[in-house]
Amino acid sequence: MSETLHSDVIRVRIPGDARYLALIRSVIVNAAIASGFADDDVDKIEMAVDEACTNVLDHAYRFATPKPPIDIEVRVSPERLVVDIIDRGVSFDFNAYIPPKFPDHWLRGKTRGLGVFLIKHFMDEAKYERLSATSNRLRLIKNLQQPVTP
Amino acid sequence: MPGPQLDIKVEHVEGIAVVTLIGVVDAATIESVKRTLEPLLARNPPRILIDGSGLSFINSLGFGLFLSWTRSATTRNGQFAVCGLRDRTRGIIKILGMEPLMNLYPSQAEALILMNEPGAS
Repeated sequence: MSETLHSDVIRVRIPGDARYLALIRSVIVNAAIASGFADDDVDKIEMAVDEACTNVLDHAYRFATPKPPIDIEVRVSPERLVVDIIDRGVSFDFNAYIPPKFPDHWLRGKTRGLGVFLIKHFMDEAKYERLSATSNRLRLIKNLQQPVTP
Repeated sequence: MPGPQLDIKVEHVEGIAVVTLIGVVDAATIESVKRTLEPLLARNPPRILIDGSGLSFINSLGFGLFLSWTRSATTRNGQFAVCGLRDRTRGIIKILGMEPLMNLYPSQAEALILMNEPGAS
């Protein structure tokens, strides 16, 4: 199985509609499981990708009507899982993001702004790049520390 | 077109509105959760228990709402609690530093007992 997945690329394009986030999560979860990630890491990858796609819908596509599709590309290797989330919306200064401090964030009455924090906390690498005037890519990488033998 | 990913049931048990969520709380379903909770939160005082034992996924918006509703209910001398969350969800709540600010219980039975104790808030 690992030899088959070594150079496999999984590509999914979903409409810009939150109802399709479950489909993305399902693809990501199954790719992570097949890669050999432990349950805990599968959950983290699932959450990070969902947060990233939700941010696309809520922020990058905020003023778009209709909302463009979102492209997801998953690459697996014996060493790591790479997920690219490609949008066609407003770019975001990912590197300027300042993570909130807890519990101060909550004590100040805030209840949002967790998406990027969770993405950076759960993934080993998160790189944002503006691909063109109309598209952006968020690349999320999770290293496979200890492959799980089935 | 994908169908609904969340079932919501509301029962009134011992003076507490028990809201059972089965499925996922994500960007597609969060509005239905809000619509269900709004009239319950408007009660005076609100007494609400979210049973999350049937949740297979909840996003950060969901966590934020639980915290917001906890705060809202408390300021009106009401109660807002959550029970039955999976270990991984509890783990995320802990990472986010939310645990001390929320009322979390392992089960509905335990939650109802503790929420109905004299002096409980």
